[in-house]
Amino acid sequence: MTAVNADETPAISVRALTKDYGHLRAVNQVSFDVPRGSVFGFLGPNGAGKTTTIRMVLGLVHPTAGQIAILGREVTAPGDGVLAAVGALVEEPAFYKNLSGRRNLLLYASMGPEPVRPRRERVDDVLGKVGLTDAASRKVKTYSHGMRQRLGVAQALLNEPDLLVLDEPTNGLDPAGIREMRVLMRDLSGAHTVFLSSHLLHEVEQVCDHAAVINRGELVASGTVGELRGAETLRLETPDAADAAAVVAALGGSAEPLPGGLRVDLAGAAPEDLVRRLVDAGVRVRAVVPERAGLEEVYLQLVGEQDA
Amino acid sequence: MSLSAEVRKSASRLRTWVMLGLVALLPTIFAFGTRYGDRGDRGRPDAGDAPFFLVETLRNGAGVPFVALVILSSFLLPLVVAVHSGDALGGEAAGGTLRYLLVRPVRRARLYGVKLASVTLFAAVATVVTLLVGLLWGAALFPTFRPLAIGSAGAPRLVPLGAWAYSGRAAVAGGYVVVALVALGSIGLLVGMLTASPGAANGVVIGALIAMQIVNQIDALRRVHPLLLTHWLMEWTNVLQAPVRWQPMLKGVVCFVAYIAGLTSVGLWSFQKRDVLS
Repeated sequence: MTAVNADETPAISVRALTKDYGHLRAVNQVSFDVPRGSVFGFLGPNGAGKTTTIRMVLGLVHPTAGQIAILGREVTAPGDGVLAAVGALVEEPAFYKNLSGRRNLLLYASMGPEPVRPRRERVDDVLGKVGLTDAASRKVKTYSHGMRQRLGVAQALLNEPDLLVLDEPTNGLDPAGIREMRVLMRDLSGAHTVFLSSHLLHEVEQVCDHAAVINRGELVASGTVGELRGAETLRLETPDAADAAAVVAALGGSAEPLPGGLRVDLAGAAPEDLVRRLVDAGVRVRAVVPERAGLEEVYLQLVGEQDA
Repeated sequence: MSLSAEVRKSASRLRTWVMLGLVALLPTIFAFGTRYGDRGDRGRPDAGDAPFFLVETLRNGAGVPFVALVILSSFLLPLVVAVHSGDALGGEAAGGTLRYLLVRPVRRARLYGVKLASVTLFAAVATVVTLLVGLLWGAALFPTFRPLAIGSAGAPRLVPLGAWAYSGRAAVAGGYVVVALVALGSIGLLVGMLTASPGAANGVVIGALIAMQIVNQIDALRRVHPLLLTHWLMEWTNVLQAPVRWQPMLKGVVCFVAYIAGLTSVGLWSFQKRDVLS
């Protein structure tokens, strides 16, 4: 299954999605689009509404209000057939622990509206993709946490999905496991649209090109990772800070003092032009370093330090 | 999602085989006990109020399947069906596999239906095991294995059953027990879905069974007795009357089917409405 109209309809589109659990509003008027072919990070602290949103997208939880469209198709009832083109990992992966990894996948492959064919080949194929070929015959209860997580991803890949929805894929993994999972995400991102949730920024910064940030049930930002990080600034190290500030102002930028120099926002002007003018003006330049706020700073600003 | 995938899953569980093993073990113990146990009463059983075929069975191996069914249908068969039905949706929810089945996607009504079919199949297999193991030991151990002679309680004339009549009546008895067990299993299926806990579900089934048995003993509540599953549970023994007394069995089946239909409707409706948070 390949994506038709790759750029036209978003892989996931939610509009004003809202969920009340009794009096508690878990998700409030959330809207975002996951572009086809993107690796989309859904960021937020624990309890922000990420999992509830994902469960609504997958038809496990009924929205109180709002619309969901998956791969261009409006989803109104749970278990919509379009989910056959979606692979999902919802919180923990879950298996029949007394069965082997391969038997588990064979069982999952035989369920759903269109059984996966050819079943055995497909199962061996996804086991290979996640690096579990050697452990395929072992019972799942003997698997490490990281292996179960990878088997969960294999399960999500069974029906060759156009869209992968992965809820906290690195949750509870050790550093080696996180690294393996990150490599796996990168490998998968070529062939699928990937929607992954995480409370770990680093994760999203490293593998995602798009992101949305949710806090206390509300969407506080969304866009490309570049947009979220905000504009690039320069750190200019110079002993002649006052002269340098005048040159920056002449270029239409702004500057604020730093110890040993300035932080410069060029407002669109090219850094190389700045350097030439500085040299022409006799300003001694020790270093010019492009800087971007890490996603982490932006994230902490957005959700407030106490929540992150 | 198909019944065959569901059956493969059940068959891969040790517990399924342990439960069927228990079901096979009890008639075996009975058969060996009757054949080789204390022989003081043999040939001169104390008839008392026991149904006629019980008396006959002490001499005739052909009665053993029915005695096995009497012994098991009152408690062990309901117990294993309670475990299986409680686990059907409750176990999937508790283990987290329910959400993965639903996003494959398996439609909720379909999943519920497949699980009900799986409970029915399990009840049928357990009942058939009971009858066949009884038949096996009846034929292998007992000195006589002759057409089972039956009659109405109090009527002295006994009618020996031909092979077809014998197996036909065994099939009707088994079928009746299966429907009764599915009615009980419908409780386990529903409660398992609602609580996401297989243990709670099979506790509720056993609790309901015991409560209904108690209420069924209280004469002052005679009016509600026809509403109780347990009131009808043993009515299949009417196949061992000559002629068969159909009326109480039909009433029993009506009661069982009403339970199945009612509980399944509630289950389907509520499953559809539910947020799956497990």
